[in-house]
Amino acid sequence: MTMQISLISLSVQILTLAAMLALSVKLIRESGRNMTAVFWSFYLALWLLVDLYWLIYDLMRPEIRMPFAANEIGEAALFLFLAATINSARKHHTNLPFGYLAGTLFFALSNMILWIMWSGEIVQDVVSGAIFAWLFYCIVRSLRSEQVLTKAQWILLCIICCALIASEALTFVVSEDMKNVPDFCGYMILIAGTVFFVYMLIRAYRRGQTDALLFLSFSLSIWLKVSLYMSADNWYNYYLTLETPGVLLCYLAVRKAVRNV
Amino acid sequence: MIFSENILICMALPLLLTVFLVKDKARQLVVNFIIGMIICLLSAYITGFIDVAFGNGTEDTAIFLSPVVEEAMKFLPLVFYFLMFQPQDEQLFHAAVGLGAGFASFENVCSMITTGTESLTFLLIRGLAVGVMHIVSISALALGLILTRHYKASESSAILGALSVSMLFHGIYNLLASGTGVFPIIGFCLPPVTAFLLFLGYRQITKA
Repeated sequence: MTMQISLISLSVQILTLAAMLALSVKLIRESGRNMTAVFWSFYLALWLLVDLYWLIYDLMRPEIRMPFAANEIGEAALFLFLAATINSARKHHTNLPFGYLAGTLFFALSNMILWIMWSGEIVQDVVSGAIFAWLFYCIVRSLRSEQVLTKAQWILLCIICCALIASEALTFVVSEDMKNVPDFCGYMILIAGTVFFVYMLIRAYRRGQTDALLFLSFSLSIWLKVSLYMSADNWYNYYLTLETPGVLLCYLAVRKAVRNV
Repeated sequence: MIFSENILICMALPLLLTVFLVKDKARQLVVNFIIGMIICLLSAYITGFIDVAFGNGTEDTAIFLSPVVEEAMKFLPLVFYFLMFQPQDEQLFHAAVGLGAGFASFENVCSMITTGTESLTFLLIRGLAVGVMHIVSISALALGLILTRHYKASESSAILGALSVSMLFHGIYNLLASGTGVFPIIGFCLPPVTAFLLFLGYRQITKA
């Protein structure tokens, strides 16, 4: 059943990505080859191919774990393109203060260590971790330079990230009987993070803050990706399903930002 | 067991002689064709090494890892040409097609010698699918590089992106072709359909 839900979610995502890609290519022409639109279209094209690879693999070999394959390189390029999209949309160029930089690196490193502990694939996870660190750095730098979040909101986000890492790390420490408790807490924190970004997005939309909307939609998309990589079974399907409206929101934000240039 | 090096020498010698007799675009195409064949042999060496070193099994290595190795190997001479010589779009595209054709031809010859040449239908399907697939994947790479230049995109991200597109396309083809039932049929149809779409895309870009 979990597998079937996953296949349906993936199929819906593929159709959505194909439609978004067609619209984004149109947006490139409309905007006179705007860089953000170009990077965004590349990002969607790669995501579409990665998803197609997954779908075909799941249909052909449903019970076997996928070995290292082309899709892993595709995913790496995908995140680099997302980082390039974020950087191309940034208007103010300021350096990231040390505290933010340290926090970002800590979160990226913690994620990487957790992935290694879950999967045991050291080389792949180190490479993915490095790319994620770059992606986190780019989005935090953009959120900070465009002053999207207030100090209190940054602190709240920091608490959410630390609590998430702590609860996920606890699952490796506590006994098997107790493992469900930190695991469940971890999922609740992931939901809290999603709610935080959705709330901020709605607020930015109501206030008509185009740039804030763009960077918050990317943040939500990245948060959903982190949540997806931290989840299993039904929770994985839940975040996989949530990614589809997430990409729709991103497209709308990109379109609005590109048209406003 | 086949001796691919001997096949390469026999195929490359007449082409090497041709290089001295033709000029300009024809010479370029022949040189790229030869490079494509050499790249194919080197890719086979690397894939074979990975198969032995990591023990994933010959089938899994061929399905999952050979697209990564082959596309990376095809990519190297192309990106060298792109970065070092700054060719025109058309020149880059022709170089890519020559490389892809050489690669596909050598792979087809080796495959024919291994599996036999009795069934014309099988050979036609294989020849068309693999041949077109290699040309399409490397053309996608070249197209990615051309787009990088036209849109002045960040080169490292864009180049890795173009490489990933060709790897994923090749990977999807290999995965589909390895299956049973409807999957290989979709797999064999994939390269010609993509070739058509790519042709349309290329025409749009050259128009723009």
